[in-house]
Amino acid sequence: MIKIENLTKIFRTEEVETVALDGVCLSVEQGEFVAIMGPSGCGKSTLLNIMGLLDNPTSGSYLLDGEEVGHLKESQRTSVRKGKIGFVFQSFNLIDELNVEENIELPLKYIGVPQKERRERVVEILRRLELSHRAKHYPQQLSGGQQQRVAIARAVVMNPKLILADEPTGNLDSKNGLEVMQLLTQLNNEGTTIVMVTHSQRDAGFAQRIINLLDGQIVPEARL
Amino acid sequence: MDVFRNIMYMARRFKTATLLNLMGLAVAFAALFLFLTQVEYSASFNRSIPKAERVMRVESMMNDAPWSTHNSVPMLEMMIEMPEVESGTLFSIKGYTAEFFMGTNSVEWDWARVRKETSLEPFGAVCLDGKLSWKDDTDSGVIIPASLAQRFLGTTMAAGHYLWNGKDSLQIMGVYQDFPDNCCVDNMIYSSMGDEGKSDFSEWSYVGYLRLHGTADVEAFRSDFPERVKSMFRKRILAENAEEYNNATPEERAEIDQQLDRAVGAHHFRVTPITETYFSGIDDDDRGNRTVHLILIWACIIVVVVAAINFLNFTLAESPMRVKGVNTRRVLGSSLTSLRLGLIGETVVVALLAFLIGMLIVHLLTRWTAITTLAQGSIELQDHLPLLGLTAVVALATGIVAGVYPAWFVTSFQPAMALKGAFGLTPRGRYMRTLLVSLQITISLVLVTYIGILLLQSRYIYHSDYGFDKDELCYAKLSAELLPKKDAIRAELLGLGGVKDVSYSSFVLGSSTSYMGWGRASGDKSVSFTCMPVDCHYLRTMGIEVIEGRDFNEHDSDCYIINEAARKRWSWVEMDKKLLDGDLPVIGVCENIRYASIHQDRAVDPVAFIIMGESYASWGDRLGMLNVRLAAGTDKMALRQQIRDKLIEMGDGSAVEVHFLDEQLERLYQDEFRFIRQVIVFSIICLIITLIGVFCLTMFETEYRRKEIGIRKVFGSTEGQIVGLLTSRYAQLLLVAFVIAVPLSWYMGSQWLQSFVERTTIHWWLFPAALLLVGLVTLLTAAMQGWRAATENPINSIKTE
Repeated sequence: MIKIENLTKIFRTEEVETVALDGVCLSVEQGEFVAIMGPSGCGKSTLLNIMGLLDNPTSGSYLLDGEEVGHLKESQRTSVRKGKIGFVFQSFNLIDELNVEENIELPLKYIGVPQKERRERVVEILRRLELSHRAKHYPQQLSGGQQQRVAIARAVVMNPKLILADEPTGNLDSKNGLEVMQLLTQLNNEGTTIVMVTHSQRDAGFAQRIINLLDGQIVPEARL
Repeated sequence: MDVFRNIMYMARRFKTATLLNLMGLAVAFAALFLFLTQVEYSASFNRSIPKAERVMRVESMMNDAPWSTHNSVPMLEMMIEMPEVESGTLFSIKGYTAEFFMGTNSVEWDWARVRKETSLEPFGAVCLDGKLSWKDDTDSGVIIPASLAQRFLGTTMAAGHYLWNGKDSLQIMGVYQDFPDNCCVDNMIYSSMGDEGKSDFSEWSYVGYLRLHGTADVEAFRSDFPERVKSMFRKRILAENAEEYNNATPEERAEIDQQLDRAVGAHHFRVTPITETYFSGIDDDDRGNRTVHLILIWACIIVVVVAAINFLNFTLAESPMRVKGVNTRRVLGSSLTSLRLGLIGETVVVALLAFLIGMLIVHLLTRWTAITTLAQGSIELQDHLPLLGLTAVVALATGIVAGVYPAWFVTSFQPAMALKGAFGLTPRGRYMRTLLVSLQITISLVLVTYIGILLLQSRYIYHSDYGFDKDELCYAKLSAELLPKKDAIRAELLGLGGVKDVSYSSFVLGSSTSYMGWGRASGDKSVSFTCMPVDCHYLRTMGIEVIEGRDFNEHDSDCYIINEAARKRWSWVEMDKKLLDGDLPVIGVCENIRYASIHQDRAVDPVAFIIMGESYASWGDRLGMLNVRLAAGTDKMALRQQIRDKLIEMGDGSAVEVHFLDEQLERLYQDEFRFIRQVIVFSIICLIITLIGVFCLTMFETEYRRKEIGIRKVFGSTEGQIVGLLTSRYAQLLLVAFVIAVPLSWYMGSQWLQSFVERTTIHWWLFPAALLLVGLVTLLTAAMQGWRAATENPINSIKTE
C-alpha cells in the first residue's frame, strides 16, 4: 500500500538547515499495523506528515496504492487524502465550537456524502465507539479519553484505507490509553491499515511491526 | 512590565494590523481636531469682540414680513441716544467691491460706509495708526484694516497714504486691527456716512449695533426695547408733524392718532446680542446653521467612538495571545495590579503615539490648499492650543478605555489554567468580538448611507428648479459712466452673436439672503414683500414664467408682477387693479423663484417685481445691474469676454467684471457645499477607520482559527470551503448590521434634511447600495485573509496550541 524510496526532508530557515529525514526507505502492506518509534526529533512526525500528504518530501519517492504522491500540489494532495486517510493526533484536534456529532461528520461533508447517509454513518460510528450518549456534547465537556475516541471516530467514519496516528495515547492516562489502543487494534482487525508514531513500548506492542528511526534514518533491525 | 518592549513585540508579530490600527487612530485624532476647529468657529462667532454679550444688533419687522436687520438712520440714531447705550454705530448695507490702487499695486477689496462719530467703536476696534472715527469736522478719508495696509505697504503705519479707486483719491485716516474671520465685522475699507439719511425715515438701508453700558441690565433692556422704541418712534413722528397736529381739529387729531397707531403698530423692533446672531439666519453674516453645528459636534463624537471601538477591538482581539505570557509573569510573582496597569499603559502609549502622528497629519494638511479652503477659519495647531489639549485628553481617554477591558480579560484566568489553555476561541472572547465587529459594520453602513444622502442633497441643491434658468446667464454691475448708456448697451450686446436677451435690475438673484423689503397698509389690508426693481425685459431674460396676467412690456410703468406666494397670500388681488389703495397695479403673476439660501424659506415669501416709473422718479436710476442671457451652445467664456470688451469700450476704459450667475449661486451656497464636503470627508475617514477595524478583526479571527482551518484541511476541506466558511460569518454579521443600520441612517438623514426647505428624497436604493459597498470591502477582506490561512500548510497550525 505504501512504498517509500530514499525519502529526504530538509527544513531550511535563514540560518539553519535541518535534515529531518535522510534517505528513508520503507513499505507498508495493506492491513498492516506498523509502529514507528524513536527519540524526540528523530523525524517520526515528519515521516507521518509526509505519509499523510500533509507535507511534501524534499526528495525521494512516495507511492500510495501504486500512485506517486510525493510531489503533488496542495490541492492534489487534498484530493488524494480525502476519504482515503484518517488522522488521529496526540492533542485530539477537535474543533471547539462543533459538538461530537458535528466533529465526526466533518470529513463526510468534505467528501460530499449526502446528509442522510452522513447522519446514518455518524450514528453508527457513535454506537460502535460507545459515544452515542455524548453526541451533543462539546469537546471541552469530555475527558481526554473520550476526546480521543471522538477523534478516532472522526478518522474512521469515512472508512479510510489508512489511519495515521501520531502518539494517540500521549495525552491519556494508562486506562484510557489502553482503550484507545484496543480500539485501533479492532479497526486493524477489520482491515484498516494503521501507521502509528509512538514513544510507548506498550503501545508499540500492539503493532505487528516496529520501525525505529534515529536522526532521520531507519535503524536496521540488526542494530537494535 | 516593559510596556514599550511588549508594544514592539506585538507590532513585529502583526505588522500590517498594528500599522493600520495606529494610522486609523491617528487619522481619527486628526479628524477630531479639525472638526473641533469647525465647531469652535461656529460656537465662538463674534465672541472675539470684547464683552460681546453686551453688543446688540438692532432688528426690525414690518407686519408679517420676516425679521430683518434693515433700519433707517433716524430710528437707529434714536436708539443710540438711549441711556443704557454706551456706544452705537450703523453701516450702510450697500457696500461694494472695487479695485483699489496704491502705486503700482492693486487689490480688489470691499468698501462700505459707517457712522462717522463712532465708526467701529462698539466692536472694540483697535487703532494701530491714525484715528478710526470722523468726530471732528476736519476728519476725512477712509479707515482700512491692517491686512490691507500690510499688503500695500508692508507695515500697518499707513495713515496719511492715499488709495486710488479708479475715480477718487482716498486718504487713509486710520488703520484698525483686523477682526477675526468668525465675526460680524468685515475687514473692509470704511468711509464716513456723513449726514446721510439723518432725517429720512423711509430709507431702511442701514444696519445698527448698540453697545450697552457695563451697568445696564441686558435682559431688562431687551425686554423693554420693543415698546420703548415704538414710543420714541411715535413721539418723533408727532414732533416732526407738530404744527399740523396742533392745528388740527379734535376729529382730525383722532384720525391722525389712529393713522399713527397703525403706522407705529406695523413696525416691530428688537435687539439681539451678537453672540446669538450667527444662527439666526436673518442677515448675510448669519451663516450659521444649528443643524450643521450639531452634526459637526456629532461628527466629533462619532469619529472618537468609531476610533475607540476600533482600538478596543484591536486590543481585545490580540489579548488572548497575551494570556499565556501575562499569566506566566503572574506565576513568577508579578502583582495583578502592575500587570493590569502595564497592559493599560501599552494602549495609552499607542493612543498618544497616534495622537502625535495625527497632529503631524494636521500640520501637513495646513499646507494643502484643498483642505484649508474646506475649513472655516484657521486650522493651524498653534491657533487652537486648548483644542490641541482637548484632543490629547481624548487620546488618553481612548487609550485607557481600549485598555481596561482587555487588561481585565487577560488577567481574569487562573494562572495554572492560563498556562495550559488556548484562549482565542473562548465563548466570552468570541461573543465580545462579534458584538464589536457588528457595531463597526453597522456604523460603516450608516455612514455610507449618510454620505449618499449628502451627495443627493448637494446634487439637488445644484440642479433643482430655481424658478429661473440660472445657466447661460451672466451679469455685470454698471459703472456711473455706463448707467446713462443702458439703451445703447442693450442694442450693442444684442448685436453680438450668441446674446439672446439683455435686461437691467437693481440686484442679482442669489447675491444675498435679503433684498429690499417693502411694507404697505391701506384700511384693514397690509402687505409686506421683497421688492425687486427691474426693466420690462427682465422676466424673459431670466426665464421666469408668467402664469397669470401678462409679462411687462415696453409701455409699462409703475406696476407690479407678483409671485405665486404673494398671489396666494393677498386674496383680493385682481389683474390690472391696484395692489392697495394708492399703490401700483398688479399686471401679472409669475412662478415662485428661489433667491436666497435654501436653508431659508424665501421661495414661498411674497415677491413683487416692479417697473419704477414717474412715482419713483425721485429715487433715481436704480437699475444698475446688467443681465445677459446667452444662447445655449455658445462659447460662454468667449462671449463673456466680448461683453466685457464692449462694456469697457463704451465706458471710460475702466475694467468691468462680468460674472456667470451659476458661479454666484455657488458662492451663495458655499457654506452648504463646504459643509457637505466636510461631512463627506468625515464619513470617508470614519469609513476607512471602520474598514481598518474589520480588516484587523478578520486578521485576528483567522489567526485564532488557524488550527481549526488546519484540522478542516487535514480532513479534506478545500481552500474555497475555508474561504466560504470565514466569509459566511461576515455575511451573517453584515445582514444583521444592515437591519439595524437602515432605520438609523434613514432617521439621521431625514433629520439633517429637515434643515432644508427644499430637499431630496431618500431613495430606497441607497440602502442596498451601501450594503453592497460595505459588504464588498468586508467580504473581500475576509476572503483575502481566509485565502492566506487556507493556503498555509496545515501541519504548522495543527502543532500550535
